[in-house]
Amino acid sequence: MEFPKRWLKILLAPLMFLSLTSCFEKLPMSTVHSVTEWGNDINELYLITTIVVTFVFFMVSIPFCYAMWKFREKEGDETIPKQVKGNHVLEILWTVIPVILLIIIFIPTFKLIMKQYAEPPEDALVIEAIGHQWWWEFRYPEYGIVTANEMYVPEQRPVTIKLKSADVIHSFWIPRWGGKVDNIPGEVNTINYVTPALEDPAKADYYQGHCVELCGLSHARMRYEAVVLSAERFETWTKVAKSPPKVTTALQKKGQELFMSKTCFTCHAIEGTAAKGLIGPDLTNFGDRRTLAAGTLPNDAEGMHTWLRDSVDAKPPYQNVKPGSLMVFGEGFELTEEDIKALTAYLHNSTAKTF
Amino acid sequence: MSSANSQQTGLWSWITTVDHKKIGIMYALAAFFFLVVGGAEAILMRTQLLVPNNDFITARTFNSMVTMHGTTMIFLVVMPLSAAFFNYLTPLMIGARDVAFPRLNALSFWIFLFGGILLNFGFFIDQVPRGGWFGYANLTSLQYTPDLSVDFWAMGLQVVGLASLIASVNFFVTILNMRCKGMTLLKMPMFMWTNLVTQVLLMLSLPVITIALLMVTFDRHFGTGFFIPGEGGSVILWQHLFWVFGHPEVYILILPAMGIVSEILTTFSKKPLFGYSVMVYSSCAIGFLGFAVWAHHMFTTGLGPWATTFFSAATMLIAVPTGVKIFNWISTVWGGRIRFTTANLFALSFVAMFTFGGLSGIMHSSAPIDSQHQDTYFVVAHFHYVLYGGAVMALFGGIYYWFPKVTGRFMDETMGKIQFWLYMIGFNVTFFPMHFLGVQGMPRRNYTYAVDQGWDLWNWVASVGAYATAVGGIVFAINFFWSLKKGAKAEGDAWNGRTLEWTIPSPPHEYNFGIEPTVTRTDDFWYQKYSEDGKKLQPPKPEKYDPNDIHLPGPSYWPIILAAGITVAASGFFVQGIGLYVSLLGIAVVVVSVYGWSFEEA
Repeated sequence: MEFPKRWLKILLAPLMFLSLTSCFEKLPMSTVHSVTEWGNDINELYLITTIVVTFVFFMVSIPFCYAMWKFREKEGDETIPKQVKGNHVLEILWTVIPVILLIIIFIPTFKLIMKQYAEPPEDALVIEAIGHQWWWEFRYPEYGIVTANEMYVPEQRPVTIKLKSADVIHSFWIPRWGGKVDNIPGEVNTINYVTPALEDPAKADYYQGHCVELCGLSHARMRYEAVVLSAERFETWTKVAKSPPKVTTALQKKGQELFMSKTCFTCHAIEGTAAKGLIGPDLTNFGDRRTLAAGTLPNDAEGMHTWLRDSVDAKPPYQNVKPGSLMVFGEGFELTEEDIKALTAYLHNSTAKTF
Repeated sequence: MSSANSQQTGLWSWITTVDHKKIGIMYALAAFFFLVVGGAEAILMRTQLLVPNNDFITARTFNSMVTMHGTTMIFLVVMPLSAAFFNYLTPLMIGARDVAFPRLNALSFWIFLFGGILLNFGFFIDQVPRGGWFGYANLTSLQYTPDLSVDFWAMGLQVVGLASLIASVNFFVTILNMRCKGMTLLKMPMFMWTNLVTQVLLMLSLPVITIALLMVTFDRHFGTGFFIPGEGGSVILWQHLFWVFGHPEVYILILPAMGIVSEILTTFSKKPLFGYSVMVYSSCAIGFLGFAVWAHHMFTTGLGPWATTFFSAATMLIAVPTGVKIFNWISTVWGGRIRFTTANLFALSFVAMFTFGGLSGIMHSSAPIDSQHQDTYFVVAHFHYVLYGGAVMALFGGIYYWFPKVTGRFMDETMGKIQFWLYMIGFNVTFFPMHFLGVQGMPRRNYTYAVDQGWDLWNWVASVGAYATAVGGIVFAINFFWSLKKGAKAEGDAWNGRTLEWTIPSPPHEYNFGIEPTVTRTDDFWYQKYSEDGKKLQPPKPEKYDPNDIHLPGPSYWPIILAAGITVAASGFFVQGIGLYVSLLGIAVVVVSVYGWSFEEA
């Protein structure tokens, strides 16, 4: 069957266009729009490899397609082809050439592996990233800060992230920063970065991360963000991040009381209050976060309403927002619409929000 | 004792059969059944991912589908379908009347079938395994999966693994000992070589998963802590054990396909396999290196620089024998007279798709690159190109190729080509965009994704491709049943073949060969039909023989009883309270049937 070339072009052009744009579109988790040295190194290697395998692809597909076309059976042809059994020169050729191509890939691979495992500089900022089902805890031992789902870092500074797990295996990955490393229970892994530069020093840059090891029901709802600040703003943040939410209005006061009476405190901690729970995320600077439930909902009044309603009404593991989550209210702990408003008002008024 | 004349029919003859051909057919039918199950699971997943934040199925169901799709397709579809070809063809291709241990062969089929049911038993009580096909510790521990789902998975795999182990010993012995006169190892058809290497891989890798699964069962039932960090265990230990089995397993899935493709390409190009001995050595090299690359599944676990380097290098190295094979297949086709039958289309597409999957495999053999691809859709795309575009396409080619031998009728070519193109296009539409999704950072095994991620388009495209493939599957089913009844009649040498199975009638007699064949060279049958320079020769007159003189092993019901006993013993783990007694009952059945078996006249 003859297929007009023009049609092939018309059919393929939009496809090619779509695939190219989608590869180069700057999506939140794109692996090719790296902003760190580690990420750029990988992409450089990725490019070399892509060129090599593309070359091999044509080396294979051109003779293959040609052979299929050239040696197709023609009507009425009954000849028996020559029974060729092999060719030593060819065999050696297609053993040696791949070896050379692989060496081209292997040398930079080896260099990069050694670089990845090199010791970080001593002045690196140490952060502990602890995976939980299904949220992330970030600890700053230097500052005594505990936070969740948003990892604040100063720009252009070496950071060493100690990866741990509170329960099962998780995997720490901020695609635009480079490759992932697993959080393994009972072990500590490390990942080193030099944080990217800010585009606008007055603002913050957000980079999305996601757990990439199947860790149970709500694995798909385990996102987090790396928040890059200027060195100065980061210092300010470290000072305010430990202060509890401010309680000024009556509604916030009511929210604070509800937090203690509705058993929230058994799982959540808020600095400077009696709430010392360790099971759920620390909520001290909760009001400052962009999202809640590890990137599942926007952290606004509506998001809070959806989240709290689901936590009260749905029976685990059949919640709608985050199946299997431990965020549940015990039997007999109902929340009225008024209660939800009060809790939201209290938790959203973090001191950290004001820096 | 039965003689060749008393060919039995009816259900009882199938249950008690020890005929490798009947067992092969049963393997294939069971694999088709599980293919429908595994395919339906894939369709459910693709429908859930059709649009962001979909609630078509719950997170729990989705995780179960992920787990069971992988487990089913690997252990209950590709492996048994390969086993079907091994069973049916090994004696035919090496010129034997049956396998070395016919009753053991029946036993392995029944154990496989019961194990497959055990693995899927969770569906009946809503406790479907959901820890991934790799079942990473410690998500599978009692603490994080308190229901029975992991037990169904572990014991199901244990039983299925036993079936494979028994079969592997059987085929290993068969190939080494039962070859006809003149067929030295290096005169065997290529499929028999990949078969042999596969059996060695099975024998060496299955014990590892057996132990690992036992350890997980002990952790869950007897309070050991092999994989529990708080009790001195290590979760990484599981990954090493699993992948020491799991990577050779990949070659267990692909080597049979490579053999099948070699047979199909040679027949339809009317040329011998190019570089036969190099192909043999490549298969052995792949089997050998396959044991030295397992930790490339674990590059992100923090192996340390030297282990990472070693496994990167070993993984790259395995591309060499694989590449050699691809070039040899192309050279086999080169200069031939290629007939584009459905079988050949599937075989040719194997070469193309497998190459493609191999190339993306080279990309993440480099550990730093892998750290960006691991557990994303890029990897999903990669292994589906290898195992689906590769192994499954080749197996379908094998079905179209040997269907006339098995049934005496050809499958319909028009329907076959419709199925082929639906598969080929559907497959690529589904899996090619997954490369993009991976590069865009979409993690695998996510039951849903948020609107703000920008993954909508390619997920939608991938799902549409999956539906096209499903239609292709329906076309195949129609073709299969239609051709059984109405397909064009096939003679013994249906395709102008080169190997021994084409020397006998289609379908073959129960005793395969009236007179045990003698060969002098590779593709002996071809050179009986044609001279070296392509002149048609007068075929020798068939010698006379008396079928009543041929001794065949008698049917036996002990294999199925023994298999049932093993399954009952394993299922003791699922029964609350009286589990121990259930297991003891199963063991009693095993003991009785072993005695019955031993004293039965063969």
